[in-house]
Amino acid sequence: MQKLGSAEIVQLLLAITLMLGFGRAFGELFRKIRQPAVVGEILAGILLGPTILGFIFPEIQQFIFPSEGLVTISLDAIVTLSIIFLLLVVGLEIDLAVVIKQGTAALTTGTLGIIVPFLMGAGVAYLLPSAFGIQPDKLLVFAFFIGTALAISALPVIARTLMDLKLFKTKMGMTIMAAAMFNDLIGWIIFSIFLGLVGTDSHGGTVWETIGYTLLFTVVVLIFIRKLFDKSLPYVQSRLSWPGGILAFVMVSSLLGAIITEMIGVHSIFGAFIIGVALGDSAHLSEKTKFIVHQFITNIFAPLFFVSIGLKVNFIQAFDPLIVIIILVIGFAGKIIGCGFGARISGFNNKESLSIGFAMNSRGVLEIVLSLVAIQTGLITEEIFVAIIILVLSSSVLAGPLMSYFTKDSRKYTFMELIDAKSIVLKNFDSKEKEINGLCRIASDRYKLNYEEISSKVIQRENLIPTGIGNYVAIPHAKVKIQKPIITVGINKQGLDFEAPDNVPSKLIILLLTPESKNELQLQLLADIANKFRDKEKVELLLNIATEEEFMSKLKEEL
Amino acid sequence: MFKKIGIAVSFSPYGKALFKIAAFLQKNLSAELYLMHIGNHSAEKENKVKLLAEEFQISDSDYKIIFKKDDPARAITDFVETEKLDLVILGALEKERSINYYIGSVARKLMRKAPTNLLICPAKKEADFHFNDLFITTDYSSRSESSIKFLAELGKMISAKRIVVIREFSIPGLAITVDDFGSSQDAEQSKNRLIQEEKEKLDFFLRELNVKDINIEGVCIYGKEGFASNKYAKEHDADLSVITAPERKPKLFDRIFTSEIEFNIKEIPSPLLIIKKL
Repeated sequence: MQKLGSAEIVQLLLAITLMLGFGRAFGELFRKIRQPAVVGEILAGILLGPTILGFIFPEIQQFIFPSEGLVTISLDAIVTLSIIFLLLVVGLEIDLAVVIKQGTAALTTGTLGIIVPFLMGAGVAYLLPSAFGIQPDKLLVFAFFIGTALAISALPVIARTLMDLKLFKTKMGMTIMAAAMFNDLIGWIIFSIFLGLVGTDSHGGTVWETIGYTLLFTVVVLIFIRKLFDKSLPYVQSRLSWPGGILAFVMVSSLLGAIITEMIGVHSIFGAFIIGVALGDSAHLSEKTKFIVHQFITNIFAPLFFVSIGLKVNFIQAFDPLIVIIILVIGFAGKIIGCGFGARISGFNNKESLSIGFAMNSRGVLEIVLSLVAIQTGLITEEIFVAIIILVLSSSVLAGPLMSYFTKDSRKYTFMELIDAKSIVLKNFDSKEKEINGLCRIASDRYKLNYEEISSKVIQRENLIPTGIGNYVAIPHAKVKIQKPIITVGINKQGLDFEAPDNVPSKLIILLLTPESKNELQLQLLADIANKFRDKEKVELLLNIATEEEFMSKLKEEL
Repeated sequence: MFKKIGIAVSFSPYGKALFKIAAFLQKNLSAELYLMHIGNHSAEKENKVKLLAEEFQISDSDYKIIFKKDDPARAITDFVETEKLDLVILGALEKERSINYYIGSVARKLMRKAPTNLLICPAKKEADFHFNDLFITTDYSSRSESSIKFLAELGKMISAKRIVVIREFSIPGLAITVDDFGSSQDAEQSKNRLIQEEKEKLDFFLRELNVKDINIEGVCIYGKEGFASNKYAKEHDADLSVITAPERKPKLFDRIFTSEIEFNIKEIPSPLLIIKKL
């Protein structure tokens, strides 16, 4: 039996140390500049691979990362294990109850977000085989590959961007997350069909057998095994050692899933993914457990896998600008048009639809794993592999800024974004009705609203429950026929009785008008205003002004 | 308010508890009771129903006994439609068998088909039922707002001590942001900020409801929707849990990938009122 000798063990450990060390260091660096860690990890691989280290010190690079032999096989095994665990965490975050709850909007966005880029990618690949240097006998499978590689969004990048932009809990954010989860699940099912088409070494079955086994495995795990997990998890989390017990349980389960799918002719990573979905669906899997599994896998295994990508090819030699441009254009256009159109017909307006299109545009693990299988089976050239990796990197980097730009309007619904000097009036009205009417007049003149209607609604609401909240602040409000929220502010230095709980007269009167259909938006803005004026001393400071402009500039300074 | 109440009568050991609840509601709401038994009519069964009604001091003029032969869910649904019942009270096992979970128990079928409100009671002895602490979930929608106002009215009529309004929410995909956040503490901080925001919104929501003459409290919890509130209600000994039925009818998919309402029906520690129409 062949064994690793001492020198080979040193070589292997050195390779792992460098991959992990550089991968983590670059990942951290990119995190610091608010970019996805995966981008840094792939770049670390490019640095350690034939592109840079191999170009400057080819002997050293070959010594650490030889292209054949026992060290290479061992390293491949570790990378395979890394992909399996990486797919486990991808699966853990798929919450199909969320997809179902979001309903048609998520399903339409997710489905069109797959179909349109798939057809565009596959169509271009089928019609322009010469541009990609593909043999006619492989054309159909190649077209299927390009279609799939362009169709699937990267959930982690999307989740992070939504969190950064504070859009997670909005309708748009939830639709994007649900559509991306649906997209991911379908993507991995298409991936296993792709494996049936390319017929990788251990999988001797036909395409139909692969599809059949894929669906059978999915159904069995999601219906029966999921129940078993649901029953076992409370015991595992409470009785076994923490966090070792749950980590071992989750990892062993995913390995078992991987073994079964590999044995039945579907790729091992699909098994790990579906086991992840079944485990993640359990309400008993605590957030803390998920954090621990994620921390462990994304900090140890993910860097090893992503760094290994950069070690595969020379990114400069295999850089073909034409292929890169084609992939980028159809990749971006297909996803933005598909998801954007899906969102538009689901009831979002043009701008929101475009934001959803851009948010769903990021690519990640699936494209990389898919390209890896394709290059290993000889289906694609190194040039196409490089182009797909560039698509992954650029779409991940651009997802945040593009989404931030296109969601500017949706994120404007905060007190500070809705107020300017023109919406402030500094006048001592002598009754609360006159104050409210004065503020309604400003809103109606400025936004062309029916003055009588809004004024009567606000006064009616005020008479029902007075809106003084204390600290000199009152927030008279009402839901009216408008599209976007409106705020006008009255500064009344004499103060009026809005029956605040602290019995202090209200001097800062903030009129809030919100669209009739948006209950939660009104609550969100009320909470935002209350939060802003929590400090009584700051409010006193703000009231000590002579003009509306002065109030506005003090507001910006103090809040 | 509930004026016409149907009860799915069974002669099981826990069937008495349904009579206790029905009698309690009938007296407090001055409602008419329809004691429905699905099965063949016999003088013996009718007598048993009469004896139960007598035991719980329901006067003869306040109830009607109905016998129906059919599939229980279909028979009850048809009767609800004909008589325009406001509420149907029925029993359910505390935990369902797996097979019923997928095929659908009577309670599940009624929830899907019966065009009325349902009160599903777990298998418990009648002494275990009280209606002091009423728990209800909210998603801030107009429907949920109406349900809370309705519950407040009901609470006053049955002399409940308090209403607890639960706002539960989760952030799908939060754990995958951990890597790019740098640490789970950072992700945890983001989560806590969102919980704080949610608490403030809930305070305003309760204030806007303007419910008077009954103690109303708000609780904001982070967790899987349906599961978290059910767990909270169980831990805090809710006497009645109330949910607003979703506009969309639950389907098999909701059971495979357990949806919000399915968590509530899956395990019923205390009576569960499903508000479908007001």
